[in-house]
Amino acid sequence: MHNAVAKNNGRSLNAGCPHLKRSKRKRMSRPDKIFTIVNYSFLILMLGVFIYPLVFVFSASITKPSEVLYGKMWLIPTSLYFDGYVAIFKYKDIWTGYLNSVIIVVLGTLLSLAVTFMAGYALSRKDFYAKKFLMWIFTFTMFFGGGLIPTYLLISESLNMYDSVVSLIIPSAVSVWNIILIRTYFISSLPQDLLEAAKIDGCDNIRFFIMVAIPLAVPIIAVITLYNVVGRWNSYFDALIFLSDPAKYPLQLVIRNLLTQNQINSLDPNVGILELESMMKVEGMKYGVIIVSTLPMLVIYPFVQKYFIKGIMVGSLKG
Amino acid sequence: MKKRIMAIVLCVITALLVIACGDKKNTGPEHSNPQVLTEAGVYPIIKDDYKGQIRLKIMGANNAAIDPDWGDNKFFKRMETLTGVGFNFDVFGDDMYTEKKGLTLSTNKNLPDIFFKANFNNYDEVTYGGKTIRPLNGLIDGYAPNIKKILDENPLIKKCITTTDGNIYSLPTVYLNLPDNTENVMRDFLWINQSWLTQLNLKMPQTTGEFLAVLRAFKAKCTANNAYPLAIAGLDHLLRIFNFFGLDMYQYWVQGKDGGGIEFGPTTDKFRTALEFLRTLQKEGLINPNWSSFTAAEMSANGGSGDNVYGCFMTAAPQYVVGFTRMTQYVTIDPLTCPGVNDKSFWSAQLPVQRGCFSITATCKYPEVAIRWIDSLYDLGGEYCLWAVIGKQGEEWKWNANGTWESTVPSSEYSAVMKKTIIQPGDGMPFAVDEEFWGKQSTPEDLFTRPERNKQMTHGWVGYPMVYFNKDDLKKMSDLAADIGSYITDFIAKSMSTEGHIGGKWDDFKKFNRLRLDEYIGILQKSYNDFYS
Repeated sequence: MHNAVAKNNGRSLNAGCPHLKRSKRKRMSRPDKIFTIVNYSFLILMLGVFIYPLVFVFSASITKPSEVLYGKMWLIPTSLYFDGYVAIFKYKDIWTGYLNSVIIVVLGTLLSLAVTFMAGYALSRKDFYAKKFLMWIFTFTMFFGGGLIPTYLLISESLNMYDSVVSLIIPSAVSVWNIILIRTYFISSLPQDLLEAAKIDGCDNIRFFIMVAIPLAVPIIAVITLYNVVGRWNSYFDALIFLSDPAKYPLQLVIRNLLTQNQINSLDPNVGILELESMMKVEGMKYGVIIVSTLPMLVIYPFVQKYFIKGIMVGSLKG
Repeated sequence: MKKRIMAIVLCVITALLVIACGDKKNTGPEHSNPQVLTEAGVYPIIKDDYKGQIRLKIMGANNAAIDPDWGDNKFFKRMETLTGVGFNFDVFGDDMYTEKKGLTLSTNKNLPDIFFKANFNNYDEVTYGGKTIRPLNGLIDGYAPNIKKILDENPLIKKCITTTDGNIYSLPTVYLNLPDNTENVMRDFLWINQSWLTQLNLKMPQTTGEFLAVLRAFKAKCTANNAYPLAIAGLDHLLRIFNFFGLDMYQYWVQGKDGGGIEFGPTTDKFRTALEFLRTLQKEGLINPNWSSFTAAEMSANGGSGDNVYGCFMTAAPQYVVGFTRMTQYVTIDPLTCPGVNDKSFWSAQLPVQRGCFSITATCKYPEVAIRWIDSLYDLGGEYCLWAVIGKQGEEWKWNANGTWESTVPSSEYSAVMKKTIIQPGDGMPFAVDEEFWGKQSTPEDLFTRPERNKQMTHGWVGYPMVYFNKDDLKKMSDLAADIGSYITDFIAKSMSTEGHIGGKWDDFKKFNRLRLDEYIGILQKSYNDFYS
């Protein structure tokens, strides 16, 4: 009897919430259990791998540089030290660099969006005759580039853009890769019927592009904007080659200059103390600078992340 | 909508055009050259009529932390007042400068008038010398009496800076009036913890065997987890240990032999003995295991951390490593010998020259003015060569009654003041360094380290001189030296960290011929003979 009640109880419990029982049994099955454990340990490991550098850099930025240097600090700050940030806030070049970077990113992205969207849309139209030829020319530049010295000559001699911020904006405005993404997007998501319907209503091409195609392309606009902003924010090489006035340097170049030139290993007997002091000062600023320069991107990412994933899908499925 | 987007596009394009048109250069009037100069030895070097009309565009490498802004630097301002020559600057951090230098020299675009702290190497000089870079021989003879005097009095220095076509394309840092009339310089020596020696009742080691015993004894003193009997910062320091076994590994792994000819170190038994020694150090934990990536900054951070952490280390001056309070615990060790293998006590050294510091381009309109200007930095009788290093007498430093000199800038403000006063002289400053003057510095740390340094300088030996390769040889050498160099350094690192015997691996290692060693040594031998002929 007792047994029966117990059995019954058990049964009625099961009957009460069948899906719970089923899902519970499924999760608990042996291979699943192993899979879940392995899965979670792997994910936690990956999380650790990705988060560790971030935490380390942050901790290092507020720990005494000497303790970071000889490895006393490895995750949690062993002491509190804010002189690094004070030095960064006093370092004028970082802030002019910030401003320059913002200007370059905003102007460059706007221009890039304008030209790549126009090109991408045009190339997506079936009734555009030179389409194949133009596409071929565009693609050609993906395989063959002029090389460093010819590019330098082109910028400084033919285009006369040397030491001007324009050299960071115009030559890099067109990204063939983005044109292909946009073209693919329009081909797959912009029905031909829409164009025909609009034409019947008396809409011309420019109006159709601006009033119909662009509003329908919001996700891809977000993606291309993000690509551009991140790419331009992080780039330094064009600036290194084409600029010479420090007042025009973007942030990444300022930081790079600061971090790469303090690698003296054999100190001068007469002025070594100055060299050493400057090295220690840079060591103190190093991690704080990384935080300060990546902060804008860290702030932007969560908001546009969903578009970013979408953009990758556009490329992978339909490209 | 349409209008708004068009408006944005137009705004962007207009903004870009405005920025593009902003930059126009202005160049001053042109004068025929020698006519603008005053008599030799007279300042300013420009005649009054031309004052303020001559500007030179300088390109060079700076250090953002030591000399951030050349345009606002007292050195250049003082030089402008002294000489009457003005400057425009194109100054970049080291790394960026290397790119810019290569681009401007190879494309002939945006060339400066002069390169200051030029960092020119063999390749730059033989490739661009006579093309974008002007030969200086005639200019030196005609307009640079101080440089001419130095070169005439020191044929060795002249040899070091004369390229294979017989021309001089760049001016060097030269070190003059060296202690005991030595003809070589070096920076880092081996310092040993004297107080540990005394506490452990040990005597100063003279041979590698004794040194090993001392390091083993020091091990007991190294209780802190960041303490090492011997601290090594990087490969350069490690290679100095090969000196104890009779090998100078400073340049190209070769050294001159007694009675002419050169010897390639890594295939000799001396090299193997040295390697066994290093293996012992590594195996017994007598050196820092991270020696290859250990930097001067890390060594200093570790050394100043509060504990007594180093038995021995290499540096120019111990205060850089252990700080001012503990520096006096350390003294230098004379270079060791290894009985039966090497009985010559020496440190590898360089000839007293650092090449490639200053050049004049072919597009410079005033080469005579430029050479006359730089000549003032090679005048040991004048004070100008010190302006770039310690500032002006009476303002940043002064003579004491006893013949010594000292800085008058308070030490708390020193780096802030010097940032605006001097040009980082450590690497590649085109000027003459008067070692006699530096010997008269009166800071306590200098009074302590200078005699030690001077003593060690007398042990310097230059195994292989500072040669130039011609274009063809350079082309071959750049491949050969890279292959052979990485082969050797890999082997050193690998054999230090692996267990077991070195025997079989050593025989394997010695098979250098597949790396075209004969060709390599042939080129080095030829250049060596040319240098000393």
